[in-house]
Formats: sequence, structure tokens, C-alpha cells
Amino acid sequence: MIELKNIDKDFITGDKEINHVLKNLSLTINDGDFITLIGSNGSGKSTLLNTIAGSLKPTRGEVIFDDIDVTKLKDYQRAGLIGRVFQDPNFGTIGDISIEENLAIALRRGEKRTLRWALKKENLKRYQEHLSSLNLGLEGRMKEKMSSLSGGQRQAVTLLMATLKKPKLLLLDEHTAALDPKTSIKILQLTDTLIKENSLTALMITHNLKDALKYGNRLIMLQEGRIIADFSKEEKEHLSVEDLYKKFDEDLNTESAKQ
Amino acid sequence: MKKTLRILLLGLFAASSMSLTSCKDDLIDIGILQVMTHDALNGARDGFIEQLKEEGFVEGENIRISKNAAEGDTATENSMATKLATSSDLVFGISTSSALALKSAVSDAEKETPVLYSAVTDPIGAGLIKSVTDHGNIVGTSDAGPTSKNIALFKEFAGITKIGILYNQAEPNSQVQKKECQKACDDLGLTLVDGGVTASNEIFSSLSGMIGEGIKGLFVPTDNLIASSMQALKETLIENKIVTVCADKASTDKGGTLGYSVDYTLLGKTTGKMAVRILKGEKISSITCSLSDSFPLEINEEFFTKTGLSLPDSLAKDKKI
Amino acid sequence: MNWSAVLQFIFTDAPTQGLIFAIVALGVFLSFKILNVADMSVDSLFPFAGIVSLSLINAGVPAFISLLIAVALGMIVGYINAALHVYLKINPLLASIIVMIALYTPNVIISKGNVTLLEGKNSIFMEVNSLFNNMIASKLVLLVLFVLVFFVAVYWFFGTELGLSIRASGKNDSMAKANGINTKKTYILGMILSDGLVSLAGALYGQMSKHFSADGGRGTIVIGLAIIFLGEVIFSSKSFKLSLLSLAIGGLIYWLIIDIIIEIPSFNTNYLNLTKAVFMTLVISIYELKKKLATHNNEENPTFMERLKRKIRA
Repeated sequence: MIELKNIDKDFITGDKEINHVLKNLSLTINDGDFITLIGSNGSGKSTLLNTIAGSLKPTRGEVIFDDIDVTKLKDYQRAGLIGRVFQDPNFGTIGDISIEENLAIALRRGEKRTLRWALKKENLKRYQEHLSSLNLGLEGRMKEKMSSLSGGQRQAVTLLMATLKKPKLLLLDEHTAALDPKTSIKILQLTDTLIKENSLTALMITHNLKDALKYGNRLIMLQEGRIIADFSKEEKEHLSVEDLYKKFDEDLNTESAKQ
Repeated sequence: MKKTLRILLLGLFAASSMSLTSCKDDLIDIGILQVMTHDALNGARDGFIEQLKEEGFVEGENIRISKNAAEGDTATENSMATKLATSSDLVFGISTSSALALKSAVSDAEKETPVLYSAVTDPIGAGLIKSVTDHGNIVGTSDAGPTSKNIALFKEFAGITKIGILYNQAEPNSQVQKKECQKACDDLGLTLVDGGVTASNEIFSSLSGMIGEGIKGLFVPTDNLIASSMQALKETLIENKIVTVCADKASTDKGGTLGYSVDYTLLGKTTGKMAVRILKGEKISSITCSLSDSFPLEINEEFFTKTGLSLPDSLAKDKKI
Repeated sequence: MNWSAVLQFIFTDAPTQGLIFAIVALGVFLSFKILNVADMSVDSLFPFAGIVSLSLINAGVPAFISLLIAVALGMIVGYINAALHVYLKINPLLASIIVMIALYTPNVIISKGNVTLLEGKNSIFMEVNSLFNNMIASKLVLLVLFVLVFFVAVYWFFGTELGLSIRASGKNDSMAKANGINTKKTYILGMILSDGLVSLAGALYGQMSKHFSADGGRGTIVIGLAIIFLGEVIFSSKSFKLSLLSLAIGGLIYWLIIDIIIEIPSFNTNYLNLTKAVFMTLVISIYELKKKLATHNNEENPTFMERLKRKIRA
């Protein structure tokens, strides 16, 4: 179980002005949850993800993984618990080295790296099996440089890398936003399959409200750094995209009425 | 790519087998190496060649001269030394690093090629020779100048109590001269400001710093790095009326005031005389390494004209004609 | 022209200079290609190692031990270089320049301008020479040995989990962190190895030339970079193994070219530096051109090398 307790995240902008991006945000992610997270630009979605991952330190509040307070841990210290897929396909992989080398790096995520040979034969077999399951023909191209793959292929491999060692939490930051519609669908289906097959806990940011409703067992709406709605699976099934828009507007009106 | 490499290698092999049949002509190969190109070193080189010519050794007739300058690059200097050690009958190194490089290259080639040197201030201290009489296959002339005599020049001018020294810290010749300069200053009651640098782009700021500290005089030892920059410093020295004593003629002429100078052309000729003795069959061991013994007082009139200072009478009589 | 002397020179000088500077290139490769920083400290570190090694031998330390000490000191310098960036947040290029300037002082103080191997003291090459009795053979054997050992060691190291993590950090810092890699530690380790290799080359060079002046390192990093680019132009960096091989061969070819230039009879050596600059510009432009052309389909848009190959075949 992952808990966020009273998270505030402030950024200081230029002239000593403070931008409160996350406001007293609390969230409990249960094991097995597949949460889709939506919100307008600037609502704090990426900041939230980065705070969970440790790339950003919260101004106030705690991040807890299975009763262990990880708030003070740096991102690379927490990385063993978390698998990440970024929006930019180039971000989660290294183009200059081979596919198998990328996978080897991911395999040791969170583990001590020693002078053991990185590309052991047993592991190479594993990679081949995993890559074949993607059905992209990549299992025969393991020694090729990652840069020779298309954006969609790279994201597929990134997904694989993020789940090679089972993470406590899979973070997906609009990971299909940079892909064409057809590839986007493939990657989302792959995501869904991987999460189900490995019983992963996942948090996925998406811009696409339809996808947000379609995937996952829980939908969270973020606006101006606050969680304004948290729908369960049953509730989601009855919602439409218009309902979501209405909810955003409602909340905005309520907030401005407050001020 | 592999094929092109193969063709290249074949070509080189062909050339090398051709070389087995190529004959070595009767010209004596003389290799000259200097660390960089500037007046003093060039003066020594030209004096050397001139002396050889005077005594009957002429380029193209009975000798072939290879001139090499490393332009301050150590790795290139070492390669050039190796090249000369392989192909020369006699080599001449102008400056400490060139002489050392030649010594090393000749011993590595397991030869006894005579190594002549010039413009080395302290050949014993630099490890070039053991003593002026015990020196193996190495012989030459040192440009150790009369530092104390030069520092004494400052006393001839009224009001100079603090002087600076501009030199390359990485140049062993200069380290030696700096020590001598310090001793002379202590003896004469002058304050010495250390303006040591390691690169030519530091020279100007070092000088400005010393002027800021109130120096009224500047000593420039025989130093390859500073010598190449004297022209650029002239304006500043004249503007600030800094009496600049230089240990080599070319530097005085380019931007200094005066100085008992080492005449590099003369040094080159003396070395040339040694080379001739060797070429004529004399054993190197019978030649003594020498120091320069003639130090004419060189005066740069321009400094006096432009600053309005006047040459002390005591020196006017020493003036070189 | 005395061809036998010319060839003897080129074939004895190019390999020895080439092998030592191949080690320099290996060190610079680690900092430039893997850590993405032009390590200017190399210009002072190269002579520093040579000066330390020679001074130690003169003081009675055995040649091989003096080599180890010089390398150890070089690794400490590498640590400082990295720490300036990692802990004090100084820009890595600036940090390397600070180290370069800082090393001037010990260089000058220890060498007093210039160190020479004293009579009666032995360099590591002279000690090996007692076996072969042929200086050139001794140099070549020893240098080939060092190059083989260290190139293989570097190749092996960067294939380990730790080595791979260093490469990853240099190429994509965020990705590395997301995979649990402490990129500060990997940067430091990489710099220590890089400077250690440069020091090894410097100490070997000092012992080989038997003298070293305090400013004898000027231009070392340029030679290292030139060899890296030359290697890439000739071999293209398809794999890590090939990249390393290209350094060794690049070093040999670089010195082959310099030695050929030195041998040109009427060549005015005043132009040597300009020639080097022109040569480097040529090499780097070909390298960039190759990169551009490589992104096109090779069949339709053959690279210059490809076309040359085909012409030769035809």
C-alpha cells in the first residue's frame, strides 16, 4: 500500500512568488489498484508523480511505501520500488546502447551493481522471451541500438523495462501522448495486459478522458493541486466524458465562489 | 576500408624494400632541433650554420642540414629528436628540452652520435652533462649570463628599489636565473617581486600586477617564453617608465632598456667551432663545454628617447658601438 | 632522401608514440564520450604523472612502483576533479580547468622546470631492456603489453553491471536515476578511471623520454580528442568493442601522419600547428558528414567511405 499524507509542493517563481502546485494532498493507493489520473495542464499531475518517485521533494508531507517512510529518500534510492514510463520515448531508454543492454540496466534496478558481467546468457534468454511476448519482432534485434527502434517500439520496451523487476508501483506519465493513435492503442493494451498479468499496482496519467474511463479500477481527478474526485470501478462505469467535464467546471465554480 | 589499408601497407613495404637498395650519399647529415622559433634560438642556429660555412662545411656540398622547430609541443619535439637521431651524423639541440630530447633519442637508438647544445643555462643541473670535462657524446655552450652584473645595472638609476622578474616557471634556465637574481637583489638591497608565469597569456597580467605593486625596474632573463612576447610589452614598459634589463640582445632590442646580453649568434658560432672540430675527426672528450664569456652591453636608445629618462653617464662609456 | 632512415624513424617512432597516446585517448574517451566532459586537466595531469614518476625513480623508488604511485595520485586528482562538479556544483568543464591550473604549481615545484632521469637510474623500459638488449623491442613489447592489458580491462569493466551503469549515467542521467543508479557516484568513478589512465600514459611517457618539463603537456587533450575522432572516422562506432579498437589504431595512424609530415624535406615546421588544425578540421568534418549520411539508407545514399570502397572493388 502506498500512502501520500498531506503533501504540499511549493515552487518559488522568479520574484519570490510562491506557486502552490500541490495543496494538502492525501491519497492511499491499495495493492492492485490501477488508477487513471486526469487533470488540466498545471493541475499538478506530473508534480505528483515526481513527488511519489522522489525526483521532487515535497515541501510538506510524507510519502509512505508499505509503512516505510520514503520521503527523505532520493529518486535513485527509491527506484527499486518504482517502475516509470515517461511521455518521451527517448527518456526511459538509452538510444546509444543496445536493447539488451537497456534491459540489463533495468533488471538491476534498485539492486547493488557489481562487477558481474551485465549480459549473462541466462538473462539474455529471459529478455528474448519477454520481447517475443510483445509481438513486435524485437527478440531477433536485441543487439541493435535502441535508437533504431520507432517511438512506439521504444515505449513498449520501456514498459517491459519498468516491469522486468516487479515494482511496487508502476508510474505512467502520459506515456502514449507522443505516439500516433494506432500505436497508442497498442501500447495501452500492452500496458493493461502487463498490469493484469503481473498483478501490478499502477498510476497512469492520461489526457484522454475516454481512456481514463476505459482502463483501470479507479479514476482520480486533479485540479489546482487538489484531488476533487476519486471514482471507484462501479462509479466509473456510469460516467461519461461530459460528466467529467462538468465535474471540473463545478469544482472551479465552487472554488472561485469561495474567494 | 580494410582493402585500402592493405594497399597502403603494401606500398610502404615496397618503399622499404626499395630503401635497402637506396644508397646513402656522401653528404654529412646535420640535424638541428629547437624548441620554438624566436630570435635568440634562431641566432644560435644561424651562427652555427655560418661558422660551419666559414670553415668549409657548406649545405649541399658536403653537408645536409635539417632544421626542425617543435613550436612548444613536447610530443612533437620528442618525435623530431627520434627522427634526427635515426638519420643524422651529428645533431644540435638549441634549448634545454631540445638538447635533452636529442640526448635521449640518441641513447635509445644505441648510437654515439655527437650531440651539440646551445642556449642551455645550466647543463649540469638539467642533467645534460656530468661536468664540463666529463660529458660523453654531448658538448656545447651554455648561455648563463652575468645575472649579478645585470642586476647591478639597476643601481645606476636613481630611485629604483623594487624590481620585478618576468619568467617562465616551467623553464629550468629561468629558474636558475631567478635564483641568481634573488641573490643579487639580496646583496644589493633591492626588493624582488616574483612575476613567474606558465603560459604566454599570463605574461601581460603578471606585468600589470607587478607594476601595480610599484616596481620601477624589470629583469628579463634568457627565457624562450618571455622572449617571444617582448614586442607586445614594449608600450607598457615605456608608458610606465620601467627600466627593463634583458639578458639577451634580441629582447633588449624588441622592448627592453638595456642589458649585458648573451650574444646568441656568438654562442652559435662557438658551438659551430666545436662541431667543426668533431667533423674533422677530433674526439668529443677533448672538447670542453663552454660558457659564454663575452657580454656586450646592449642599449635600446628608443626607451630613453621615449621616456625622457637619460642614460647614466657611468654606462655611457660601456656603450656598445 | 635516405629512405631507410626515414622508414626506420617512422616505423619506430609512430608505434611507440601511438601506443602511449592511445592510452591517453582511452582516458580522454572515458571522460569525453562516456561522461560528456572535455577534461582539460589532462594537459597538466599528463606531465604531472611523468614528473612524479621520474622524480620518484631519481629518489630511488623502483620504476614499476613509481608508475603505480603516479597512477594512484592521478586517480586522486580525478576524484577531486569529479568532486568539484558533484559536490560543489561547479560546471564540469570549469572544474577540469581549475584542476589543470592547480596542477601547474606542483608540476613546477617538483620538477623545478624540468626533470631528467639521473645517470644510473633505470626506467621501466631500461629494466625490460636487460632482457631484450634492444631498446626499440623493449619499448614496443612493454607498450603493447600495457595497451592490451588496459584496453581489455576497460572493455571488460564496462561490460559489468557497474561499468554499464556508468555508461548509462553519462548518456541519460534521468533514466539512470530512475533505474536506481547513483549518478553522482558513477561520475566520480568514471573520472577516477579516466584520469588514472591519463596518468598511466604520462608516467610511461616520462620514463620513455627520460625527461619531462613542467609545461610539457600542452596540447595533450587535443591529441587525445584528435585520435578519438580519427578512430571514429575510420571505423565508425558500431559497438563499444570497435570504439576501443579504433582508439588504438587511431593513435598509431595519428602518429604515422605526424611523423610523415615531420619527414617532408622542405616542410616549414612553423606550419606544423596550422597543419594539425587543418587536419583535425578535415577529420571532424568527415566524421560529422558520416554521421549525417548514416541516417539515410545506406544503399541509396552510400557514405564517402562506402563509395570509395565500391570504387576500389570495381
